[in-house]
Amino acid sequence: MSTKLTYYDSKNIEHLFRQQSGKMFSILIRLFGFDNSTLIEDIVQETFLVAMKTWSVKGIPEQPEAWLMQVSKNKLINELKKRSNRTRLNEQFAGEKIEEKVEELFLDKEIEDSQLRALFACCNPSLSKKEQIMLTLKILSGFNDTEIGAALLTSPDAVKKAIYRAKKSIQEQHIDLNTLFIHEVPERINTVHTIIYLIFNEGYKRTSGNAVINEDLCFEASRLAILVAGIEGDHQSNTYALLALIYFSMARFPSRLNADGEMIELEFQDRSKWDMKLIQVGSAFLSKARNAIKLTKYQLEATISSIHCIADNYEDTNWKAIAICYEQLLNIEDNPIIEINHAVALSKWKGAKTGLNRLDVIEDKLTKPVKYLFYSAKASMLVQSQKYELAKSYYQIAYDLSKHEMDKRFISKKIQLCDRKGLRMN
Amino acid sequence: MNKYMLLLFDKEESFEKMSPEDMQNEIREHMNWIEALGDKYDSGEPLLPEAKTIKGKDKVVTDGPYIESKELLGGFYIIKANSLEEATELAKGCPTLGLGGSIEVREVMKM
Repeated sequence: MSTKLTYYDSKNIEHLFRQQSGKMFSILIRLFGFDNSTLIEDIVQETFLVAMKTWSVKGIPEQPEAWLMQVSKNKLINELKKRSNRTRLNEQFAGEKIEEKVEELFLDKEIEDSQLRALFACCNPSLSKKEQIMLTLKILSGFNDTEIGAALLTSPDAVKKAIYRAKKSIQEQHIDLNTLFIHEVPERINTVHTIIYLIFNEGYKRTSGNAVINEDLCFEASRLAILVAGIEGDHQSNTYALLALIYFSMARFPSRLNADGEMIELEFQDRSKWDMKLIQVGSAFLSKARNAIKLTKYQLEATISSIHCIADNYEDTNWKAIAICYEQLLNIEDNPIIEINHAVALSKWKGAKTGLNRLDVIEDKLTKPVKYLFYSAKASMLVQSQKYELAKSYYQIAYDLSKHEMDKRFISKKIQLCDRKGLRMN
Repeated sequence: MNKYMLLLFDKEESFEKMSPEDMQNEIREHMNWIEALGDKYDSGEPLLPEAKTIKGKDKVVTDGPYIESKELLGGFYIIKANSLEEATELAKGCPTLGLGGSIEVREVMKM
């Protein structure tokens, strides 16, 4: 083990502990099953504690990842030498030569495999979406209860209880990570995609809460998606589409908020801040996604995102293509926000009148939570038609209906804009 | 310049609640502190929690530190400074304190 001091490049090991935590948890669950959480958590925690204490004083070792794995492997073998722990092992590992088997489990290929098995187990259909997300963040991403609480805007205590319930439910099903997975890919891969998508959205769409945690969620979603992309099969192009969507969105991350942490609408984002490298990676993923048998939600959303990413500015965006994508999305998913976005794209492509007509058609279908989006879309189309007085009234309705402080501030800026433009008209 | 030993007493229970990310951030803070010390940093060693205490002529051996304490000696740094006061000021920047630990600053005796 090298202890060469490298005080200056701690940046390139960002989130390393989280990733390693996911790897260790996955290996240990594969060995011990879900029944021995305390033992597993202790091994992981002690490994990081040793790293924290030594690296703090001695610097980061040359191969930090290998260093951590070696420490956790040693701790694991020590635990196994205590006879009582052997009896708690999953069947495949209960025999002799346990140390050889442990060595095998710590090979890169097996580590990846263990993570996938653990991810698929976390996306167990008997759990609610929220429980699946929490368990995934806990086991695969090394989030603790406080961090999960911050990510999902709930209390650490509630997280603890939910995870306890979720684990118990998996225990009762006697799931062994070693038999699971391969045969379950076709049916469960969709759930896995959904969970990754939801984790990403929690981080991306949320503008309140802890900004660091929000970004970390997006990062974790991309890491998990890359992991899943390694599984071959018909679903693979859909995983690539999900990855493309994640990368296109992350590329725009730096421009999405202003200095006060308020959301900036796509129209007014500083496109020079978009990360071209991430856009390129996203495009590469999207082209790999093209050989899909049928169009999926992720493919359409990624395509919409790519069109925005390559447009020089908001007005010159290929709105026709975007409107068509939204229309196809509506065939897959009945979603009021997509309805509204479709109408907005139509207004950009064919003019405000077409957009307003479309809004009239969908108005009755909309439920209250999305009404404020509807009225601000309507107001923006009226601005487009230079009907500032009327636009202002609709923005005011949107303001009253919106629940979040951020949305309210955003809309009140629009109202001021209407006032200014209206004045200039007179 | 004199050498000073900073004895780091950890509040162990504060580690239990730390997530992997928290621990990684803690390392970063220590490194930033050491980097900021520059030439004034000399060396340091972390200590494992397992301990034996030997006492008196009869060499009575007990497990763990002799004094029951919630704070455990977790390691030490040696830094250079001109006075105990300066060393104390420098030690105030040590991230160990942020986790509720304490630091004892002692001047190394010169031969």
